[in-house]
Amino acid sequence: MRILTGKDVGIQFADNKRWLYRHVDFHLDSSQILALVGDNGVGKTTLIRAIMGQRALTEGELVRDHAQDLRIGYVPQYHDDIGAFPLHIADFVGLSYDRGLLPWLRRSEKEHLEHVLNEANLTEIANERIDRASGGEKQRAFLAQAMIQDPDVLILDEATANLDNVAKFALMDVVKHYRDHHDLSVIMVSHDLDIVERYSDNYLLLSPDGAEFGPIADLDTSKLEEGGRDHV
Amino acid sequence: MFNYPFMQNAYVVGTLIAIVSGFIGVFVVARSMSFLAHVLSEIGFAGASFALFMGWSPLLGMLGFTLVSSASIGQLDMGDERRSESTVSAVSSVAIGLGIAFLALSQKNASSATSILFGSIFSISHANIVQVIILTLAVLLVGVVLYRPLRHVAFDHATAVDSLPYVKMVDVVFLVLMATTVAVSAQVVGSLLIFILMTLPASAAMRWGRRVSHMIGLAIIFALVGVWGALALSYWTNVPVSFFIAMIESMIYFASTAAR
Repeated sequence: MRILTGKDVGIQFADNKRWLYRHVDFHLDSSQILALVGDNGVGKTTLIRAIMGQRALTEGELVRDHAQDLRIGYVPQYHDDIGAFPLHIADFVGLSYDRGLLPWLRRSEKEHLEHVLNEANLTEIANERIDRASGGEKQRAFLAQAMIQDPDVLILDEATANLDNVAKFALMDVVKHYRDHHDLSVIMVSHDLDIVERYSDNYLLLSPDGAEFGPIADLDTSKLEEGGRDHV
Repeated sequence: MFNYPFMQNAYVVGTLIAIVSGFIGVFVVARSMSFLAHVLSEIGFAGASFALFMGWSPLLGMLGFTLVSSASIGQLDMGDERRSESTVSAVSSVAIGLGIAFLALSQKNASSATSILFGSIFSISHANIVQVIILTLAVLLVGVVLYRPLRHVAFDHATAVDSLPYVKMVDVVFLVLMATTVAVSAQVVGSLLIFILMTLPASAAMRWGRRVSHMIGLAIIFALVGVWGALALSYWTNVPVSFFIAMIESMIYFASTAAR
């Protein structure tokens, strides 16, 4: 089932008339993982902002094929200083319950929270402070926080950057699990070619000369300026 | 002590003010807005002096000035934090200057100035009591109703802006709640020492608490201990309430820092 289609998308800098990219075509189906790749500064975050409806396109359209009110969960690369007033991981993830008039969680919400924490392998450390968690555990907590709102599309912005291999795969395995069990589509911005090749279905490569979209097997990594397995 | 109506009134008003300061204080500290709270209290001072000059109730003058300023601050997009600190300092200077001017112009005696600056909970008028009760209950009601979005915005701003479509409205409402809390808290501790009730109990509580609900609960308890203790000690010794609140709250804060 098609979730999102980008048709002839073009984004232009407002001031100097330079195009970031033009004629970008792609689509995202349910339960698919799309890797959004390209060199630094090419405009991946800008496209993400356009997909989230926070930025207008200069040309083309982004069609929400299945549902107009697409729920998009965004997992940013950086959070504000969570060490200042560190919460327990369960409380931190629960911050996502930000609608409704009840100050406390309903039983269904508590159960959903437990379930999400469980799927992210955070149950054991749910009552630990988030600032004392390892990098991988923190990333899983950020991921769980986005999953609370039951998104249709999850956008991961460099989620595996700064993680060691064990933590990277632990995180992506959780993403895969959510994808399989919650009918989730994922857009993954990443420079980590190992992860991209291992976990995504399709790729969208952005560059000023033109965009490329296709199955991950077709991705020619030499096209990326900083391509290579050991890229950081 | 409790046979006197003025003490009964002081405890009722003081209790409500402590609860609301502890509650709102946690969000103020979480969002690093303590400096803004300080400036709002100085603007409140200007408002109270202006009201005195015009012959109005100082509380209403304070409320008017703080509400207008916080609503305006909400409209400004505070980009660079360092620049915004300087802007806020400049606003603060204007406020203090105006406050001093109005006090001088109103030619009231020194005790009016003292009560605005340092609090006047033992001499609070009946009308003021009713106003404080209504305002604190209103703030608590809005705070409870908006608890979920406020909590997300305060403790994880990065994801809150994407999650809440109406996040700017939440910000403005929060500023209004802050302004109102500052104006009512000034009745107890005076506008000079607002931060004692707004930021100290919350800062101490946030060293202990690991869930937002616990932080708020503890902040309220710390604020109540301070206010109740200070009222009693002030009654017995005739030394101003603000002094005792300052001492009690700082002791609680330093003890919390040492223990955690």
